[in-house]
Amino acid sequence: MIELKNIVKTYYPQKSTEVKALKGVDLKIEKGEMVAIMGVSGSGKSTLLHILGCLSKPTDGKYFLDGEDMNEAKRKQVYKIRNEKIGFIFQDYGLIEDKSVLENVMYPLAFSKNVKFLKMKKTAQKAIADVGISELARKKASKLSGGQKQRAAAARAIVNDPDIILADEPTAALDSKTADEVMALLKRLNEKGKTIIVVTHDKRIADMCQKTYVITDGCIKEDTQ
Amino acid sequence: MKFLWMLKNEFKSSKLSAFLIFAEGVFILVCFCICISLSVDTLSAAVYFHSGFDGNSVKAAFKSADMDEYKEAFASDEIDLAVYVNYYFAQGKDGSTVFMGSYSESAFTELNLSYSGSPVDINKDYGGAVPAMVSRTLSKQYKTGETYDIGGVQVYVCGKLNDKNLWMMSSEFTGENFFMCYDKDGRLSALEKSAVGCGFFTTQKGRPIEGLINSLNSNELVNGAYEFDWRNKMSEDFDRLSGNLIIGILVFLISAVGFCANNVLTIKKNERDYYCQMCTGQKKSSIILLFAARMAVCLIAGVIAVIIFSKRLNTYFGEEIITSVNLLAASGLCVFLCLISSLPLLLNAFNVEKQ
Ligand SMILES: Nc1ncnc2c1ncn2[C@@H]1O[C@H](COP(=O)(O)OP(=O)(O)O)[C@@H](O)[C@H]1O
Ligand SMILES: [Mg+2]
Repeated sequence: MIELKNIVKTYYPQKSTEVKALKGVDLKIEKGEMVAIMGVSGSGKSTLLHILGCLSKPTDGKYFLDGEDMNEAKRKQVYKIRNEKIGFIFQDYGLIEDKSVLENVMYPLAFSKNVKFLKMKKTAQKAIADVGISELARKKASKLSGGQKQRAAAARAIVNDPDIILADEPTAALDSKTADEVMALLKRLNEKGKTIIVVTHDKRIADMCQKTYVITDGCIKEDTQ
Repeated sequence: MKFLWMLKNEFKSSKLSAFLIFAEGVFILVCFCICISLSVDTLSAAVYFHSGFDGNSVKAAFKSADMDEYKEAFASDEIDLAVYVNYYFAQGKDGSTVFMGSYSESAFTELNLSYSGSPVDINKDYGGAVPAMVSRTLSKQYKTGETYDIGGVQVYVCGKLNDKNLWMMSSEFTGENFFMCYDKDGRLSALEKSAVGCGFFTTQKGRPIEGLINSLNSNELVNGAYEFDWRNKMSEDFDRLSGNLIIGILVFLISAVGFCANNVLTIKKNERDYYCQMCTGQKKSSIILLFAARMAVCLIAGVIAVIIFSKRLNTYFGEEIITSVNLLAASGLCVFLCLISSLPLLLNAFNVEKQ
């Protein structure tokens, strides 16, 4: 369902500051897989994830999502895909700090046509219950611990019931026990049929996934060990 | 509903900025009203005098105490239209001195006066009272549609003179507090104590003013005809106003800079939040729309606050400066400037998708 063909991403092309972040990435991820993308810092992991999440466009190459060419997709359609098909989890949580967990989780619903205004709160509460932090729903995001924030981010990622969850170093800021809990949560979501793509530089985290890809210097290959 | 919910959140996350926009709106509005109000009369008078050479405009004036002299002068072919005023001092309502000007019929029928209320109808009977237009300075004490006893004469106030031109002309002779009366039955002139002097305006269509004055004087029709020196009058006015205007404009500029800075800081502060929202599917256009809506709400609240406040105060500021037209013009201009100054900024503020 996700297919990348010779993806190239160059920042500041033809300038002295040019950075070739991705140099021809081929990748195929099936529906319901849980894969890890590993690599050292600066190897292009986030860049790849941004392309997968339609947050940026590749300089060259093709990206098919459910058979649709994302390079050709209209802006409006990209918003819709980001809203309905993809959930994001970031290393720094990406929550709106001065809003409550509930409001944060309600945001994606506000941009979706699938959920009516009056249903927004209920739907968000259910997602918050799913990640096990119902008692924190009214708390401001800034008042939460790292693990709680990452759970709130997970609730926001799943609230629109997307097919794909993209997690960019979701455990990097957490201690190993909390990291394991977050990974267990992702695993549970995977068992419910969601495609999970976790970017990490931690071998231990990668081992919890079914497949591991390694990026080195802008090129990717599967780690078969 | 979703939009309102997001708008509520937008307000919640930037309370201080919302309040600042409100305050800036009030500030800019007040400055604008003052500037416009102070300059609009002078500017319209300038327009009148500059363009007036084609229409029935007052161009020359002379003074004489001899009524026959006027009659003779007005009978001359040199003059197309003449207006005269015969005036005296009277005690006003609160004991202050007002000028009662008895104007010729031509002043009411030939000049294009700008007024609020009704014009003086020279054929109408005003219940035995003398119909008059009141100068703006007197319009607060003497209301349109009422009859007042001014020094023993019943005067009916038809309306208030708006324009500066006749006002300036008249005040040359009578000062600023005057009644422009139409004394059909000669009741004012019948008061023996009255007339202390006469002023005349003569007007002429499309004729060079120097020639007219020369011929008036050389024909010895009148003594001492002179061109009405509106330029001088206007420059006096400008001198009086320019200080206020410059301060008003400066204050406006400063608050406009503050307004832009406020917007930049708000956008910078929320940049990460905007990014997060974009990741969850929010459109850039909807962020801009929300931002603009928040601004509009603040500014409209500012306009309403100014209206309520000035009505409450019931002061000169409330009644005169913030007239409805000026307020509308000022608000429109204010909102327009705000939007113009913040839109390009918004568009460049976050390039989540560019990279
Ligand atoms: N927005 C950007 N502008 C310019 N260069 C960037 C940008 N994002 C990433 N890069 C560069 O691209 C390379 C890969 O970055 P990134 O994908 O963030 O690596 P990783 O996530 O694996 O640490 C790095 O050299 C980084 O400096
Ligand atoms: Mg990264």
